[in-house]
Amino acid sequence: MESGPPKVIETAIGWLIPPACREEVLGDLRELYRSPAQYLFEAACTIPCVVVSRIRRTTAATLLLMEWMSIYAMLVFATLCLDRAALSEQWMCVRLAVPPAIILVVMTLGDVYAAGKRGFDPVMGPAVGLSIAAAFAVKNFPELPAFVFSLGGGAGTLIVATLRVMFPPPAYRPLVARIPAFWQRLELVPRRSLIVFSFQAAVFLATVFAVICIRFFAL
Amino acid sequence: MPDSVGQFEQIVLTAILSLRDDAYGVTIHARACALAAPKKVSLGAVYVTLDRLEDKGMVSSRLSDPTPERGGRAKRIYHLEALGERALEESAATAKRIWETVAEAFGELGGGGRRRPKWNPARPR
Repeated sequence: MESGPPKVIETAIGWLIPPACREEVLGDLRELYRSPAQYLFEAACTIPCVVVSRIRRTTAATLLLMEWMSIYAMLVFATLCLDRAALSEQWMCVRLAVPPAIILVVMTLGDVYAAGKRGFDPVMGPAVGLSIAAAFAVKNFPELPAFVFSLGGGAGTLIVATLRVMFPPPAYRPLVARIPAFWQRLELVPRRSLIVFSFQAAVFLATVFAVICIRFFAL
Repeated sequence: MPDSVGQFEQIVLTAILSLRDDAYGVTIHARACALAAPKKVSLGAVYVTLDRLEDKGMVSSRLSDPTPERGGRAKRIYHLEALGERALEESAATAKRIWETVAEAFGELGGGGRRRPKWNPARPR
């Protein structure tokens, strides 16, 4: 008689459960095990609830809205400044709202499945989200020049990265006081991330300067 | 004053109270099923409610030692906090007042079936 689920199934189910609650949920599912089919059914019913609960604990709705608005505003602003004609395409203003939503979904899921105590890296998280959103934009926004998307998306994700450094996800905030994390004398961002962040900011500013120079002198 | 708790939260709090030191996912789910019968209760709903109660400060949790029957995995044991106890007491007091009012309106409810209060528009308030 089997005492537990097959190792392969248990490992696969374990990957789907957020690390913060993986130990106890896997243990409970194993305790309730009767057959592989029953185990899979129980896991299928339980995991979405656990993920949604974890999203609720690691996401602040106000902060999410601010992040979405930042990226969307930068995208629209970049399109307005650099390729105004693209904005006259059908529903472009509404379609530009999709890449920011993709970035935020990636970051939200990253926070849920983060193994560390800080959530998804505040610098790499938005960068990963932007890459996935860029792949989506290349396929679905052929009329939008790539450099416009890169500029607007890059500016937006820099703002989002700053917001995430200042306001970590709720589940990972220090509980000592309700003030921005950088006001407290704690090691907020690892040194490596600060260096990467500074490098990205420098690259972005250099790109903006180069584009403006090219547009200005080309005209 | 503690936040108000919904019916399912009351069920979960009652399950934790009755289980004492053995309150973890599986046992809380089993006790909640018994309390909520004949309604079915899913394990996922119990987890969501436990997280919500923990965020409200009504329960606290800790990981226990690993056990071999759980494949060497630890249990998350839940304890009722003072805030949760007060919320449960208030809910029980409210339920008792409702029960007494309903019993007064319907008469004796034990053995003999339920009697509806007679509709009488002329009955003085």
